[in-house]
Amino acid sequence: MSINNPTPLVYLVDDEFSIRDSLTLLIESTGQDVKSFESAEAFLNNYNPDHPGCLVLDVRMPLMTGHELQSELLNRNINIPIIFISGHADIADSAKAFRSGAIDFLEKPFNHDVLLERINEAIKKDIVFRDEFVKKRRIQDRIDHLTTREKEVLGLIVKSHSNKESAKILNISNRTVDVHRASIMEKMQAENVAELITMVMYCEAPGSISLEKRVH
Amino acid sequence: MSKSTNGHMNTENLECKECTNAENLMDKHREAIRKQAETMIHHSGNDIAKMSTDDIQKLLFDFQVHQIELKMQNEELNRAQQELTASRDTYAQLYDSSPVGYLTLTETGIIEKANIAAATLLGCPKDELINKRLGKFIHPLDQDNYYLFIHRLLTQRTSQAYSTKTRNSCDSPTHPECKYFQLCPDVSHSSGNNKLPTYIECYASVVYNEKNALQICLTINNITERKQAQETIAYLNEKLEEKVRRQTSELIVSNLSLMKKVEELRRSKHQLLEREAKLNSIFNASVEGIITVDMSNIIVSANAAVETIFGYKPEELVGYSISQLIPSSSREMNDYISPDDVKLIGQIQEVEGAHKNGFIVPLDMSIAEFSVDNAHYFTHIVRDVSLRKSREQQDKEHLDELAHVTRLGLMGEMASGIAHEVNQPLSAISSYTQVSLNLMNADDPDLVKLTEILHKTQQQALRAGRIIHRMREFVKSHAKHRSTAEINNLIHEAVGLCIPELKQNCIKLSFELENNLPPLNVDHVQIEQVIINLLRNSVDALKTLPPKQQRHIAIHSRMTLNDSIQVRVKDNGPGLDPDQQQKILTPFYTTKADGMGMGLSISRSLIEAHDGTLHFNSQLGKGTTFYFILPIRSKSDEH
Repeated sequence: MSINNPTPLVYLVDDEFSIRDSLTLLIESTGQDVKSFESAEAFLNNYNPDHPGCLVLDVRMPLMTGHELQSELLNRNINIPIIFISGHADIADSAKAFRSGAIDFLEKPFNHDVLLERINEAIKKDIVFRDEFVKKRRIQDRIDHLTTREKEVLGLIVKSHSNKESAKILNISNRTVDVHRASIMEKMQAENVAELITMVMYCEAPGSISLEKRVH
Repeated sequence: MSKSTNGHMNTENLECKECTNAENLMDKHREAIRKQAETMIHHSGNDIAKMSTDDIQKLLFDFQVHQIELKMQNEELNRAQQELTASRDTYAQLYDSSPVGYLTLTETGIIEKANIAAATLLGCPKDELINKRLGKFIHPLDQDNYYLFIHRLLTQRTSQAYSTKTRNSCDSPTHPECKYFQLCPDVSHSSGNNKLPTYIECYASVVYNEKNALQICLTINNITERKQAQETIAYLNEKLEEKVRRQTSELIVSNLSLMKKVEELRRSKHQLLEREAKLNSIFNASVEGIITVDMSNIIVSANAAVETIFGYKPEELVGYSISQLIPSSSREMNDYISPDDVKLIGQIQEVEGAHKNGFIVPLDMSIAEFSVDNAHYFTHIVRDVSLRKSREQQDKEHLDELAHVTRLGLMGEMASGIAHEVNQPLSAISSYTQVSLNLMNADDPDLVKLTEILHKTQQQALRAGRIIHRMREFVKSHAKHRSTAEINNLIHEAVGLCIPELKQNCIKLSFELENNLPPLNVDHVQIEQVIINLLRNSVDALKTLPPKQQRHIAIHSRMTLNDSIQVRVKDNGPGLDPDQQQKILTPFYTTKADGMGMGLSISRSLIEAHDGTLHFNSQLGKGTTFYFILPIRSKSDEH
């Protein structure tokens, strides 16, 4: 968990003033903080990655469209959950949005309860994701502190090789493997081999867990 | 002169000598006869001595008688001789003084005898002529004729006439009677500067002289004068003939030209007749009514077509005023009759004709003027245009229909954009009401905020209504409906329907609209349709640009110099290549995969129906500008 826990923010991007205005009022009425922008560019310039939150995004806008913003965020490794809103829902549009990891695709005018529910859901997901991300970063840090030889040994452990097998493969003595193993366990702060393997697996596939969870 | 006198005296001397010669000859002759007679007596043998006295006496007596007889005879002879001499003298005198030349030639053409006249003619003294050939005196050119003449004379022995030219010279004495002609005594004497030839005429006969020799007697007449006169006459004749010839040829030429003129006249007469026939046939076969009136608008003639147009037979109309047929015409005619005002001549004007049955016939009329003998006439040519009018009306209706159909198509194409546009206020309303509900559910409702939100809600509802209204207006089929409109308002209305598309395609739109443009009398929807068409064309063109390239449409409106308003829709799209430029305004031509190719051709028709024009210019790679020009006062306003 991060040290300071900033309040979640709902970002709203729509070129239409009336939509921005009415949705801001609506979302604010549930107690959420809202930051609205009239263009994707304005959002990119003002986004604060420190705040957890979600993005309510219009599909059709002049200059950068909603979809373009989504790709741009992926490019920048910003994993903010997105709820698309569109005046004209198009199957191709929505499919594209979902493939790229959108939370939902809502057609205007939409049921406000659904929208607010999705917003809450999205914020929670972002908080979870951010926690996982922090966890992964911590494990990665520990892995980064291993020596090259230790990393090689860790790789063989993850692949369920015994000490003897590992010594043979690496052409070193069993005794040396034992020394490495103890050092790895200490550096990775693992209680046992099972925990060590879980940590490595978790770290190596960072996106897979959250993606599986998102798909309905 | 003195020479001439000498010549004359010489000839007299010659004559005297001849006389004495003749007397001497006579005496000798007598003596010879005496001697002969004595001899004869002597030889007779009658000797007197032997005779008796009686006999002698008888003989003597006889002798005496004889003697007396002889004397008498001798006297008679003498007298005869004298007479003969006298006659001979007379002859010689006549011979020499004759104005006619006489020549006696031998068989071989040598002159034996010549008189003075002949000598004079031949230009040679008489005695020098003797024993000369006459041929020597004949002009070399006439030599052949002369010898032929002589030859014919000798062979045929008949009289011959011959005229010839003599050689002559100018230094010989002039004959008193023939002073115009100069003769010379001999060819050898001629100095060579002979100018005028002497012409002679010869009459010849052949005789035998006492020695039985053949002689040619020639009579020579000087015919130079005659000849010259003849020549002069011939010359004059020739001159005259030449003159006649010249005049004749002149006459022939003028005759020819006259004939040509006659032919031309004949031809032009024929042409005139032909033309008249043609004109007559045109006059009567013409679909247009042709009515000729005089200066007081009275109908002088009308063709057959008039009956089809007005229902009156041509003969019914003659003598009546044309105002009965074309009420507006007479007024115009009165205006027009002033000679300075000829503006109506040759122009086609639309007038109304009155049919016999009372209904009104729309007509196209043109007036031609002609004058015959100071009288002016006006030919009215009228065409029944009711068919054309109704066809125009039909065309207009078709255009309206077509415009409507394309408008529906346009609306279909724009539907998703417009739906999106309507969805915006709707979803805003939905959100606002939700907020309002939330506010009202609060323990202490914030009424100020609620009022504010409800107001916003209302605005959005009105906005949605406006879009729907605009759409309905645009799609609605409607009869020709023109009213005054500000072009800039029409532009904004049209743009309003296109905004979703512009947004969707990230197109920046800019306006450059001139203020205070005069209002136009137009069909709003149709002009909006044109603007939308042009905008959407630009949008479609811009869509083909790569995503990162800036897309821009500019709309301009401005007043042009000739009281028209120009509206331009300019894009920075890919532009049109020359081939596309050529076809772009034709129906069913399209550069779009799903286009019908009707947009621009319909736009053009709509603009033209407003008496305007639609144009474009395009540069490949730079963009295209479509623009239309509408007159502030269109022609159709005036009717």
